[in-house]
Amino acid sequence: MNDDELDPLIHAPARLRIVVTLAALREGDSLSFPRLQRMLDLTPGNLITHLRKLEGAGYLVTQKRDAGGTPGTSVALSPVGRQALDDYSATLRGILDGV
Amino acid sequence: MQSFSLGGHHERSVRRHPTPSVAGDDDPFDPHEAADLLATTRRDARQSFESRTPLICAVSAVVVLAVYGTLWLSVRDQHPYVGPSRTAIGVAYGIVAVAVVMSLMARRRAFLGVTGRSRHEEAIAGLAVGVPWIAVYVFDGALKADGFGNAIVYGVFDAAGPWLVVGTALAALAAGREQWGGLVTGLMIVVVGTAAAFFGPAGSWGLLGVAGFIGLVALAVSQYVRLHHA
Repeated sequence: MNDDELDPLIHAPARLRIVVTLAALREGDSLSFPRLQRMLDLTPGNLITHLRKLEGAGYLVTQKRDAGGTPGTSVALSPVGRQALDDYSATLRGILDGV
Repeated sequence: MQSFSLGGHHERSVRRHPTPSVAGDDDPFDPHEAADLLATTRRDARQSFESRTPLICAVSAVVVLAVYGTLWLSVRDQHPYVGPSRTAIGVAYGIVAVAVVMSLMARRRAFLGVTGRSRHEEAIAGLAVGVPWIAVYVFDGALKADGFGNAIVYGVFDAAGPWLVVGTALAALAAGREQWGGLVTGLMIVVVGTAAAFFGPAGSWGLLGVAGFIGLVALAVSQYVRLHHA
């Protein structure tokens, strides 16, 4: 195995942190944009750029919400995204075991 | 699936901070660094989303020991048994109130910004455990009105009753979710509560205080291991 086999969408520091953080939620849960931003300490623009890439690949699902009259967006990992992270983790383990 | 765009407040916030270049996005990313980042991020996220932190479990252990211990100290030399003193009950309620506030704060911190199934399940679990717990103390009133003695009403039933109903509710919830660890824990709570009843009204307060303390310390340790070494 080599590095080229790692999913390039996940194999970037910021996107890896986004996907792993959302994977820590239980299935069926989603996380508000502000909390995700605070947890990852990314600028809004930077976070949106990465979220759009992940959403474009079908790894994320976004939902409009209106909690307490405050509109916002929450983000969740899709089943495709969870599977992609599992595959990424398995590939990473394979690369490290082969070193 | 919707395309990603933010609500009004966040759109404005993005406009105030022009989108920077995505630093490091295309830089070479060593697999070892990736593995470290994955492990660190996973651990941090799990700790952040966990409402039953090791600290809360440890504080709960001390609270159970303090509450049951205070009540036991007030009844251990009573012959005949009349029940915990008003002072002991007041101290117990005060300790419980502080513990409840701490627990609610930890839950609020963990669920901030989280929507979906977990919140609903927490609310359902809260009802399933909370209502029977309160019912124990309402039932107390009926027992007293029906002429049962202090040893039953303010002793065995008050001490062990919450264990029986809370343990049963936890076991039923865990069984419904096929969480076998939770099922065993719930059943153990029922068994310990039942066994304590054989130690008399004063003895049951003391035994359940120690058992609750040991159980919650064990939970704190297991949560610490799960959150820091998983």
